Amino acid sequence: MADLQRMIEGISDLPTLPDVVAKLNQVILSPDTSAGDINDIITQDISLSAKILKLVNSPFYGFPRRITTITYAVVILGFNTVRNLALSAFVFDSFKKKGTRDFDLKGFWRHCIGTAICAQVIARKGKTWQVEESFMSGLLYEVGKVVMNQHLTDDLTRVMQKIKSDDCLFLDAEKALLDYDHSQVGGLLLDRWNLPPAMVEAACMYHTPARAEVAPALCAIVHFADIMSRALCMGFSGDSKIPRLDETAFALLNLAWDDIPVLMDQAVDEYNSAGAFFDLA
Amino acid sequence: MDKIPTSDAAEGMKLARDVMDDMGRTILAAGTVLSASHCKMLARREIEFIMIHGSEAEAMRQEADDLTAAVKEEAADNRAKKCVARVQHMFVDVMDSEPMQRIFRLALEHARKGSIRG
Repeated sequence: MADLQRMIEGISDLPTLPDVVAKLNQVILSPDTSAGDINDIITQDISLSAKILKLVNSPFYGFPRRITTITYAVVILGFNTVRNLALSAFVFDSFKKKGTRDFDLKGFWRHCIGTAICAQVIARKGKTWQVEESFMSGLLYEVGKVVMNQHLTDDLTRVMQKIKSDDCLFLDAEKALLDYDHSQVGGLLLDRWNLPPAMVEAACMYHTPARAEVAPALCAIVHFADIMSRALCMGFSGDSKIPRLDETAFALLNLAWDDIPVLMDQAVDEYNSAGAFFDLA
Repeated sequence: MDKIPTSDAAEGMKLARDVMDDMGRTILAAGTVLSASHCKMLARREIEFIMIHGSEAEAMRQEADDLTAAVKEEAADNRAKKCVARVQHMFVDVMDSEPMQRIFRLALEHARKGSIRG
């Protein structure tokens, strides 16, 4: 892990969290923060403001009236959602480079958006974790794969070849070839960005949610959201297989099996209206 | 394309469908531009309704719409077939687990319906 940390720190052009998002992370914690304060920070970046307003006005949120200011968006959606939209726009922007030939980046972002939506519907129903943070954890849970796609391309190429020849899970190919995996890479990046420890742990532990210590409920949500989005053919995760469900993690979701068909229907509807997110990615 | 009573048929209208008699024989083919004598003949033969194109432009638009709908339907059908094959392949190694069987059944249902667009 220490070697991996050195390797990640050695990547000179690894994106750092922009001032706007870092400031948002800070002010959001203060009880004195107003929608106007958030507006002042976000509107320093015109392009970011435009992207946020485009997302807010998309069918995904389905507001009947047009939202024309960041202040209004904050009032309607809340601090956390607007901060998360800013973070989403930054992440999509930071990892646009095509990278390894075998890795379908567009399809991969669709998969992450799908997982974010699944995590959101699971959290909304089970009420075991905050919905916005579940969405964001689903969006960023495999960010390690895009870091590999842009900065550890030789390793990713070998992994993709192994997946092709053995028809195995991405993680199994990594275990066979590397001394690290994408969840460790993703966890280190999110930690570097000072994101909440629960989100960092979800990125590190979604394969093994039973070992989570900080936020077992969030890890369980992301674990099941990953399975759900794969099962529903939402985008491309990097391989053609599905991991097994950890039943201990499923028990933490506060869901009955009868809830799952309804959650899948909801996730499909929301995914089909997420065009504005796909356009940004 | 419109269905109109034969009493409303007028010279210059273009038939969108064949007009047949009681025996199923074509008496006027689709595409015929009606003349005054055609209209009289249709009335004489007591044909109740005919199908006509509203206009040439509308006919072309209709044809284009039909074609687009057919292409879209075929694309959706292909997407659904691919998705079904993908789901079957995805689950093949985990079907010894009862929860995964449940998820598989639900996933297959969505794949068959072609729920995911794009």
